[in-house]
Formats: sequence, C-alpha cells, structure tokens
Amino acid sequence: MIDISTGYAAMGLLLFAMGLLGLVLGRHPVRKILALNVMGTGTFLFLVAGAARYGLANPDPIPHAMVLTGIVVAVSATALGLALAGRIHPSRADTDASTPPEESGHGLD
Amino acid sequence: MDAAGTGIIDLLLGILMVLLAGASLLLQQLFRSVMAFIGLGLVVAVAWARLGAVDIALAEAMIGSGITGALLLASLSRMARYEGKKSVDPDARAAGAASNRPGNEGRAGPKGIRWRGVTAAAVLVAAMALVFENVFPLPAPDGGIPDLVIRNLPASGVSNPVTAVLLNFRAYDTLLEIGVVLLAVLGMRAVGSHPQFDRSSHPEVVLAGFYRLVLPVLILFSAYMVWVGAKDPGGAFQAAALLAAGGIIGWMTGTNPLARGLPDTGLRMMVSAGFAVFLSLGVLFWIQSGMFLAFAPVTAGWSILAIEVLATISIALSLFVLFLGSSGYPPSARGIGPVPADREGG
Amino acid sequence: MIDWISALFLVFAALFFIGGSVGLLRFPDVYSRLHALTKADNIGLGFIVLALLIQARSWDWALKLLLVWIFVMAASATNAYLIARTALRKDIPVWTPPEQE
Repeated sequence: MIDISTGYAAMGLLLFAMGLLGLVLGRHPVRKILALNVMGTGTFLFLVAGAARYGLANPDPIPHAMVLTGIVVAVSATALGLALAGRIHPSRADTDASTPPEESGHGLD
Repeated sequence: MDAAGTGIIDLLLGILMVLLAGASLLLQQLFRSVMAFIGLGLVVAVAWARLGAVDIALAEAMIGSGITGALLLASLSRMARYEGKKSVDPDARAAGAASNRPGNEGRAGPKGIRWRGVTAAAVLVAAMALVFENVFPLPAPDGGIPDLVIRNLPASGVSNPVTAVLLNFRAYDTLLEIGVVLLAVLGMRAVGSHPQFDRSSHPEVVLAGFYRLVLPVLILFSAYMVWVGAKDPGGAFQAAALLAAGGIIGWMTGTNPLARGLPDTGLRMMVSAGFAVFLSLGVLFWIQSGMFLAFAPVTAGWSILAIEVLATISIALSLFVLFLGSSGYPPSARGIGPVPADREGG
Repeated sequence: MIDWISALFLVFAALFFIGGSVGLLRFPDVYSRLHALTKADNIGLGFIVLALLIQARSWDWALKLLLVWIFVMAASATNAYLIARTALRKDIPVWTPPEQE
C-alpha cells in the first residue's frame, strides 16, 4: 500500500479541508468552533505524518512537540471561544430572518 | 531507513476519521456533532499511536477529546438552559428524530444560501487539488534533525526525545504555550460565565462514590506521568489533564471546594506559577551562560522536573478555570438565576 | 500458540462490541440501549484485556491491564447511571411492548 506518511498526511489535508468548509458554512458559533478544531486535528495529522518520514522506529520528535503544544493551545482557544460564543446570545447568532429558531438545529437531543 | 507501509487498520482508521469529521460538521443537532467530535478525537488518538507518537496519543485522548468534549458539552448545556429548553421532546426521540439531515445546516432557505455552499466547496476542492499536487509526493527524508536531537539527548537531562525537545531544545515554544494558556485564563475571567450549579440539594451519590475512588488514583497517575515523562511517553500536559479531569468530576459532584468560591489570590498565584517559574529559570540561565533558557547539562534534569511540576499544577488549574468559565450562566443574563433544584438535568 | 488464543479472545471481544452496537441501534429506548452498550462493551473490553494479559511479559504489565479494565468499568457504570438518571428526570418514557391483538 502507500507509504504511511503519505497516507496520514493526505488524511490530514482532507480533514483540514472539511473543517475549513465547515467553518465557512456553519452558522452557529459552536459549530464554527468545532470546525476549527477539526481543522486543527487535520493539521496535526499532517505534521505527525511528516514526523514518521524516517520510519516508525525513530520518529522525528520536533513535530511531536509542536503538535503537543498545538493541542494545548487548541483547547485554550476553544474554551475562550466558547465563553465568547456564550456571550453572543446563541439563538440570535444563529438564525436569520427567514428561519424560525426551532429550525436552527442547535438544540440538544 | 524505509518507511512503514499502510495496512488495513490505517485504511479503516482513515475511513472512520472522515466519517466522524463529516458527522461532527454536518449533523443537524449540535449535541450529536459534539459526540461525533469526541469520537473523532479518540480515533485520531489511535492514529497517533499508529504513527509512533504515544505522547501525543495520550494528550489527544485526554485533552483533545476529553477536556474539549467536556467544554463543548458544558457550553451546549448552558446554552440550552439559557433558552429554556429543559426537557427533551419524547416523541421526536422515539420517532428516531428525522433531523439528521446532512448538508448546509439542512437549510431549505433562499437560493442564495445554497449557492454559497456550492461555491465554497468548489473553491476548496480546487485549492486542495493544488495543494495535493505540490505537497505530494512528500520530500525525501534527508537525515538531518532527528539525528541532531538523538546526539544531544544525553546533554538534555532527560531520555524521552519529545520531552527533551519540549522542555529543553525548544523550551521557548513551551514557555510561550504556557503563556497562551495563562492568557486564555485571563480572557476567561473577563468574559466567562459564573457556574451556579448548587448540587447540595441533589447530592449525586454515585458520582460522589466514583469521585472518591478515582481522585486519589488520578493524583497518583498525574504524579507518575510527570515523573515518567523523562524517559517514557508522558509529561506535564498529560498530567495536568488528569488533574483537571479530577477537578471537573469533583465540581460535578458539588463537593469540590474550588468550585464554591475560588480563593482569588491563591488561584492567581498558582495559575501563574508555571509561567513565572519557567520565565525566571530562563532569565537565570541567561545570566549564567549568556543565552536565554540555555539549560546547563548538569542541572538540566532537575530544572526540567521543577518546571514540569509547577507547569502541571498551573495548567491543571487553568484547564479547570477554563471549564468553569464555559459552563455557567452569562453573568448579565436577565431573568436567569440558579436552576431550581428539581429541574436541573446535569 | 499463545497468539492464536489471543486472536480468539479478540474475536470474542469484537463480537461483543458488535452486539453492543447492534443494541445501540436497534433497541427502542435510551434505557435498554444503555444497558446493552454498557454490558457488552465492558465484557468486550474484558476479552481484550484477557487477550493481552496472556501476552504480557511481566507482572506489572498484567496488573496495569487489569487496572485499565477495572477503571473503565467503574467509569462506564457511573456514566450509564448518570445518563439514565438524567433521562428519567427529563421524563423520557420507558418503552413498553405494544399490545398484541
């Protein structure tokens, strides 16, 4: 099959693209934050896939450290973003004039 | 050195990742999206293990999936409470709610909105094709940096290459990362919510029992993580996540003293201790050897341990404060007060 | 030989996980789904731990594997309880079999 680095790197790019699409198209702030996190995960996949280019026996530790840093920064940003989103009065941020609040789809199951 | 090939498991992981990522972005109900995202985090953690990045697998499972999931769920819960949706519609649920429509937020609205989706997707596909063409095949490995790390590993004070990179060779990045967490906490205290769960009227017995079982273990595991991070996968951030998780569970039982009224001065000192000590050591080394954050090989191991211990405490508290800030009521909400004890659903 | 036994246990584990997932998809209300999922997944995990136990190279490995199983069981049991309690609070009805005419 294909090289493991290439495979996961492609997966990472795919996830990044999906996240970006979700970021642009999503209306609700929490959905945008989710999309940002998915983009971040895609980026991390790309980095760590690159770290495996010398073989799995001796992975390059620098992208590992960078991704570890990235995960912690992502959670901090997510937390702050959620707090800000909560201040924007969620239901108003989500609907426009043509859709009544029930269809906005951010309700809980 | 030949790179390993992919196997069936990588194919399955890849398919799962795409499906879960799609679900987290497209599912109509936010709650289900968040669930899919938590699942994505765990699948990605397995992918990290597959790629030989065990430290990251630990961090992703704990922080990326666990803490982020908790943040998202708490925030959704608060938004639902705020809007007065306090109970699930049983009919919709039993009918297997048909709201699972994929697509642009399920919008059957004016034509303008759907075109936006199509255009965005087309542009993105074109951009990705361009990226793919230029990035793949990945450039051949040239044997540079990992050897550099391995060669200098003995002088770093630890034997886990990731820890060495994180806390010695690229300590500046980690210092700034801790600074970022501190900034998030500052921002959270400015705009975050005040958790007003008072659970003393509805003591959560089972959870309290679980908490009593698990908290000592979490503390022990956390200390172990910090200690073992010097030679095996582990480290300060994973340890901090464990402690933060313990704090969150404790808050949910209503017995965590930190949740009642965070002692302000002590909290501020402990949250900034990690960054402060790290920075001070950096300046100290600067004075000693003329370069900022230049660890002397003889004392590097102990310096790293000291930094990690304090960073663990700081980051654990920070994560806990970040969680609290996203899970309470907006302070200026009108007509919203503490949830009456018999209506709160957790 | 040991590898074959491990493989057998892993297959059992997979079967239990599949059973739990089928239960999740097919059972009519949240309570029965919780029941199926928690029980089946815990036993499945037990089989995985068993499969790895016989491969363990030292006692501390074996002990850690057992601890993993115990903690996951405790956590998922607490989890299931919390979800069921919340569902009850929100008055989600328990499914009753339809009348047979």
